[in-house]
Amino acid sequence: MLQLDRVTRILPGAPARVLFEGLALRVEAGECVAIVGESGSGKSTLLNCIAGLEAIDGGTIRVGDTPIERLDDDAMARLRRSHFGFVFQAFHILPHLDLLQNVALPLWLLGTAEADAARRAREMLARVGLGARATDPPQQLSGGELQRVAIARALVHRPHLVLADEPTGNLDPGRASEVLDLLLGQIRDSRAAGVMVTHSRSAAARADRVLELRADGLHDITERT
Amino acid sequence: MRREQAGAVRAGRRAAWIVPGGTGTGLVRLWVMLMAWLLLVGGGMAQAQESGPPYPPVLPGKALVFPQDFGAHPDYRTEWWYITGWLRDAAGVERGFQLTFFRVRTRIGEDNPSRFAPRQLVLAHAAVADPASGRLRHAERSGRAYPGLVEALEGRTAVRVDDWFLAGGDSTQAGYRSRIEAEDFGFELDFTPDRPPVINGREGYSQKAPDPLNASYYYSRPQLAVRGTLRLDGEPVAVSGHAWLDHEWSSEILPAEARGWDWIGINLADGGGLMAFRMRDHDGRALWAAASTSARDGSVRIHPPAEVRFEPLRHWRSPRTGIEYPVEWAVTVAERRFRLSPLMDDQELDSRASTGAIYWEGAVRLYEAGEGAEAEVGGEVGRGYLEMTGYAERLRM
Amino acid sequence: MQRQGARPVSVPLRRLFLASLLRRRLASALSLLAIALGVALGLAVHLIHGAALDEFGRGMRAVAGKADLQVVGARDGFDEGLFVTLARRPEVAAASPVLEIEARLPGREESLRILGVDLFRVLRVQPGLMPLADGDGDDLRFAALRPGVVFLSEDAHQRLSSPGRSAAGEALPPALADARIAVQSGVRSLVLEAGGRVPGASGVLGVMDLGAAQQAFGRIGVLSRIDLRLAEGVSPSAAQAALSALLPPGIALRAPEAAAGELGSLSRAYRVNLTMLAAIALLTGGFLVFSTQLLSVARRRREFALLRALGLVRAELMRGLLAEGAAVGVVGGVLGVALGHALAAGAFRLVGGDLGAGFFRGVAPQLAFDPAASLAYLLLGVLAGIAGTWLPARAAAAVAPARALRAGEGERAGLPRGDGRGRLAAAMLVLAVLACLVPPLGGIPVGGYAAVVFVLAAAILALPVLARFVLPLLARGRSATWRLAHARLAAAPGQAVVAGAGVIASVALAVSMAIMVNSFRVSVDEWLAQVLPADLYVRASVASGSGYLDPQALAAIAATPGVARVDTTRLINLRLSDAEPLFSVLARPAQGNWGLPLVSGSMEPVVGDAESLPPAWVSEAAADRHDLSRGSRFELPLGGRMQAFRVAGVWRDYARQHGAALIESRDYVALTGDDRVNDAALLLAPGATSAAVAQALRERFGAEHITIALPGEIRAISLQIFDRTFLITYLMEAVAVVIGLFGIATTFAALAATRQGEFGMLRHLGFTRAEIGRLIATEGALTAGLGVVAGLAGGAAIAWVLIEIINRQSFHWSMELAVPCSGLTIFAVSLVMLAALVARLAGRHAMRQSAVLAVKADW
Repeated sequence: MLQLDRVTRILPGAPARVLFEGLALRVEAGECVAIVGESGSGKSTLLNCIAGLEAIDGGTIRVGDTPIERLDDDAMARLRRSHFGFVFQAFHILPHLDLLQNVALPLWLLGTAEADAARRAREMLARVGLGARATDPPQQLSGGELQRVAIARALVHRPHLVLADEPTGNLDPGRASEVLDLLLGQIRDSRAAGVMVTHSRSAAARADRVLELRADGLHDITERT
Repeated sequence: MRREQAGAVRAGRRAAWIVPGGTGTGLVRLWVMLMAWLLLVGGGMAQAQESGPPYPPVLPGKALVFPQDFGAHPDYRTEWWYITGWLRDAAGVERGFQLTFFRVRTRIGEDNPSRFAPRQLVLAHAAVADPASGRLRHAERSGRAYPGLVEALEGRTAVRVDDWFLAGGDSTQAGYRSRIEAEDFGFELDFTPDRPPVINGREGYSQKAPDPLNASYYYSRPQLAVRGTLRLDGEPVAVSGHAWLDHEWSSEILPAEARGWDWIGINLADGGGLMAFRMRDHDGRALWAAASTSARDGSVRIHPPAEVRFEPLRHWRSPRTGIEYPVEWAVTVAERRFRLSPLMDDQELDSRASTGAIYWEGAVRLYEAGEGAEAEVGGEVGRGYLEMTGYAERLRM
Repeated sequence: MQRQGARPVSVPLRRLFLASLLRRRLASALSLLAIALGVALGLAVHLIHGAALDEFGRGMRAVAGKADLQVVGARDGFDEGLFVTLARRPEVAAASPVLEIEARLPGREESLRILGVDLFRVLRVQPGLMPLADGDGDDLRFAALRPGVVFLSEDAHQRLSSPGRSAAGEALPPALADARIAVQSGVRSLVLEAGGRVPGASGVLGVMDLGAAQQAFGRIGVLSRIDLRLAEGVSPSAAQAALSALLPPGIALRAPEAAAGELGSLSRAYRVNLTMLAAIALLTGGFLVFSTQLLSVARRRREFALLRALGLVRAELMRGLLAEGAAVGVVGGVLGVALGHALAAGAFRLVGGDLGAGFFRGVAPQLAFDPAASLAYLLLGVLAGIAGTWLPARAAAAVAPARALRAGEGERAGLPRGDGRGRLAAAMLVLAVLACLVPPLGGIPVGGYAAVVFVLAAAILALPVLARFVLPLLARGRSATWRLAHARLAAAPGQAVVAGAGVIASVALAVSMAIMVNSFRVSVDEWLAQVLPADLYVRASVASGSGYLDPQALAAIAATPGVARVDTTRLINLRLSDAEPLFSVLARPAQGNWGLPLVSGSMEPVVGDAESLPPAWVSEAAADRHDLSRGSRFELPLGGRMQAFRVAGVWRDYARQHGAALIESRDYVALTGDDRVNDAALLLAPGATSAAVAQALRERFGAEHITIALPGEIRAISLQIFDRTFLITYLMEAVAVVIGLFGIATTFAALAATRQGEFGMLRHLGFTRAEIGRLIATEGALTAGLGVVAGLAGGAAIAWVLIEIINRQSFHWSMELAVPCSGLTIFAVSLVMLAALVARLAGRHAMRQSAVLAVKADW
């Protein structure tokens, strides 16, 4: 589903710094990979490169059959809206939309009919356990609840790839565990490929594979966690 | 005989000084131009704008008729009623006074039905010589003739500029009345004649210069008894005295060669009257002279130019203008010799700020004198007025 | 506590507050500019009018000189008999008669005011009018009294020596050439010699001899004015008491200053109208400060919470924020004062001192710095700045630091929630209705202006309510951007209020003016069609001018081949009382080629009038001012005495603001003996063409002496004048709209900055950059759209107030409501589109930001 081949990223500047080089990664549908690494190792950058929001300086990234480095800005955006789901550390739930609308947002982008979008969003909300609060404004939700909404939003349009950047970074440990279970469960259920960046080993351990990002590449450390 | 011209020149004198000099601000200058033109009689009038019939010439052989000729003669170019005299108040203080009304026919707007058309102008001038203040107080009024306000009526003496007026002359016995209100003085006087008018010249035809065209119609009223009030500072006080009235009208006055004149009008202590003048040329020589003497009984004697002589005795220099005036004179009229002495030296009239004229006009005493200029002076024989013009600059005609 | 409170705030003030203004440069600059524009417009109106009035007053003083009192009558003058009566009174030291002629310059647009004076009397009363002859030499002595000589003021000399303009607008050589100038009297030309100057006079005028003027302009026996200098010790009031009894009806005795006062009151209503417009511009500026400050405060909530937590006192916070507003106000105010002076200077150069209204024609004002007015307007600017900040500052100071510091407080916190205002809006509307019932105060429709303010407030308060009603109707779009924008506005109408308040105010202003002006224009057009039914009109000059048609001229017109019928109008301006401006009387055949747009009564005289008074038809203004209706008795000072008339009808008159009455020509001639005529209306014989008759008339009288107009031309010219008069109004509307757009720009610039996280997230979700741009534009359009809708509604209401209350009370004009639908639609649509563009431009910054960084931000 996602395939990285010899991906290199050099940070511009004087002197330029090689952030990572020659990365290779393959994530299958229904598989969830966690990427860990020290701060500044380029975890988030890697995620952004996969999302096409940051350019790479070498190698190829394929999402499905599409090599994204050839896509222009708008094409990449269209690819994201149909194939990608995102979960952010800071949730990014729009305060002026209710939960249902927030979840339906990706469907709006895809031009789904209003009724269809609402139905699917409602189902999705139900799947994350917030079915009863569909029309609540986000202000009334706790952080964990907000991240559930974000997970619903990330999956509502059945993306092929879900990218999560520190999804539990703003949550207390109890909530974090709950949310993580939900996220991974949903990714697996929807047969999407998941890539999660985190600095929490315990969070990473829930993934199918754990890879550590270093300058020389990704190293599978699943056994060690 | 020639005195008549002096009156005519009186009108001209003001214009004379101003036009060349051009004083002060533009406003004054224009005002002066205007006055100059109004008062100036003679050349330069041949303008396309002139309207109405021409000025009638002054010719001999036209007898004066009273009271009609006490009134205005609007067809003629200029006309004036000229009163000079001495006043004494209850405290015995003596002062000179002068009051003149001029009428000028402009030959402007005679075809204009507007009552404001400046066909006739009336100008008045008044002055009081007060030895206590050592200077002349003078004021003037002027305006275009407008019924009820500014007038010079025919048939009797009735001239008015707003609230200033001189009226009377309903008959040869009738008196006159005048009222003047100026800022720093005013008077309200009655004048009573004791004899019929003295007809100057030939039946009133008074030649002014060698050319007979320079002439006027001219009569005088000597020995007018004056009674009334005078206001200088504060309240009006009762005054009495004697005055002299000249009334003269003409169409042509000064000849080009005239520069100025010296004129006297004296009420003699014996009840008689003396008028004499001489016209000076540019070298200060007499160009023309004339005199009339009258007696209490009404008899009049007209003196030809040869019988009249003016000789300056003492000069006074004006601190204001620097002009030197002969303020004491020896005057010879036929067989009589007189000496003139002023009530005060400074009777110069410097009105450059308003009309621009500078001349000397003042109250004088007349003394009997013996033969020769250095002869000793006898007693006072009369009082009257002396007028001297043309000492400042050349007349510009 | 006290020491803490007294701690100088200068350091935090500078670092935290004023520096914040610099951080949001665009928003600060725009609010500053809005305040500057409001201040500038108001000040410019004040300066222009003040300078014009000053100049007029100076001219009056120069003309009136040392006069203590003036005798004035009808514009056409009065019998000179009064002059002697007054001049002889002991109370009067000097009286100077003046005949004032508005001399038409044949074939030219401009005219020359000629004062016929008595030089001997001018000197004692009005020395400023003393002429000075040009040149030197003997001729000078003749100049001042000579007929056919005019002396020109410096201004007149300058004006007449520069190239002129024909009545049709073509360039002409200078009117004054070779010291000669042609003026018109009746239907003849008269060549006057420019004999010199009037150094003491200001304004465009000429002086000539009174007698000559009376003759030249056919005004024998007539004076316009007598200026009096009172005797020492006589007070003007004592003199007035003593002399008033001597004056015939229609003649007033008053202080010379009263003329300027009369003019001031003439133009007062117009000026107050303009100042109102400027005030609305300033108000919009205040709203702008409000919206930018509100957003800025909302964005800085955490910062403030932190500062509070660190020990900043509530009052200091408040003060700091108010200082921000005041700083914007001061800078904007100073800028506005400078701009106002520049505007005034420009206006003097372009349109003269009359603000386009024609009140001060012939006055050449000089711009002078006015410290008091400048300071006042500067303070108004500061006040707008502070007032705009007041509510946001209070809200910021009231926030509990702990809550605000909590993560996840959205940018919405601190914005008005935008609900519960419906009732307040309704209350405002009720107040507006009540204000409409208030009668005018001193001729100023105070209630009407209050109603405008209330309607404006109601429109702004009703915006959230409107949003709730309107937005569901729009919820049909399927695109994500539309849905997002719509959802955002529906959820946070308070934000629409913030962004849209400026739009509402400016749109309401523009719309109301547009409706009012359009209604006025349509009514004027209809009115012109009604009053101009004849085929051809002949006029010698404007009413007070020196051109007129006498019976011979009329006979010549009637004898012109092709003319079937000639009807005439004589227009005179009378003085009904000392205090009132001049009243117009039109004498013409009531049933003729002239139409009369009656609003009540009829063209038939009242039957069964016991006094058998002649009929009169009065204009609306006259009816309002003198409380007249059909059957009323109305007296006019004609021919030196009061003449009673019976009112037969009331007609609409847009030409004469201070009232007019129409009487039968034959009655007028019988009462006054005045058989001159200003205008002739010609009905042509069948088969005759206007062009042929016009040509024949021009040949007969000389083309430069008469103005021949077809009704269509008069209409066109009148409407042109109308449009010029309202030019400045259009200008001010445009400024208000620009300020309203500033509101959109600042709000969206501020919002875009706070919404970078949101945009970043949306980019992650697959929004293209263009779509983000479209989202912002859509939101801008929606916000502006709501503002425009509210503005349209408010504007319509204000237009009604303007038409029915303010105009009616200020000018006594009634008009039919005519809404310029297509124009307003175009305006509304283009404004919405413009708002979208402006929002998009303002949000450009946000779109450029990396989506990656944006989502990192913890908002």
